[in-house]
Amino acid sequence: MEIIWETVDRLGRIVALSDAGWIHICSRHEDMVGHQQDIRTALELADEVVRDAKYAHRQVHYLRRPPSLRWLRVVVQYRPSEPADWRGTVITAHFLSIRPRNEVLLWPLPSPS
Amino acid sequence: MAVAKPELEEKIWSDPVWPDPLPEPASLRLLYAAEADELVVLFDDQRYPAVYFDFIGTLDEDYAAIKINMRSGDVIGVLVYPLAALAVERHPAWRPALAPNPPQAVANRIVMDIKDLYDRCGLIPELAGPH
Repeated sequence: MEIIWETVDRLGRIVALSDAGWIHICSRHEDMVGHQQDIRTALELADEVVRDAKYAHRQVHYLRRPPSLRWLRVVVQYRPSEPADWRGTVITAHFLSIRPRNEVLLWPLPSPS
Repeated sequence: MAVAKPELEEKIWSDPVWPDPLPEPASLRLLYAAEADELVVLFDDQRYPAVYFDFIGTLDEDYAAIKINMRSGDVIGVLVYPLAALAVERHPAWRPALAPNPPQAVANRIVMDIKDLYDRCGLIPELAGPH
């Protein structure tokens, strides 16, 4: 398995897209073929990062660039990494219009009142 | 200078159109990725350049979505996420989709069940989501 690219997400963690992961994404979401760079942008400049509703170490990065009506949804699986850090791998990505309701916001943090 | 304008052609459909009748079971393509726990059933082999998913407003947790052709508003597939961690608890008949070579009948069952969910629950109301 080769790494196509690595980048740093909104919370400062390294996230990688592997060639195997990319093939898996495109096999289920053929419209993503031209959006590999957009996935990277969604990690670096996400509008919001949320915790997955079911998987403890899985987080979802959302990006929407007006006038687009769609959110780009990028799901990342994180694993512990030395020293005391976490690294992520992109496991799926696709567009959607209305986001699922059962996700917990991680970033941006609510401003103190 | 040419200006790309794909976004200008985007449209979100409040009443996407399901094929009637539903696709023949033999035409369905079931794609499951265990590492993502994500299942997609595509209705045909066509490539659609602009698509999006909308989740169905099931009563508690959101796990079933439909795939919509942005240009026409047609429903062209369905998505289940997460399948193993949630959906098979709600729909035990979907469990065979987790197998390496799932029977074609399970794809048909999933499509029929999601159509039924859509008819009963509709899509997530826009104001009910986080945005």
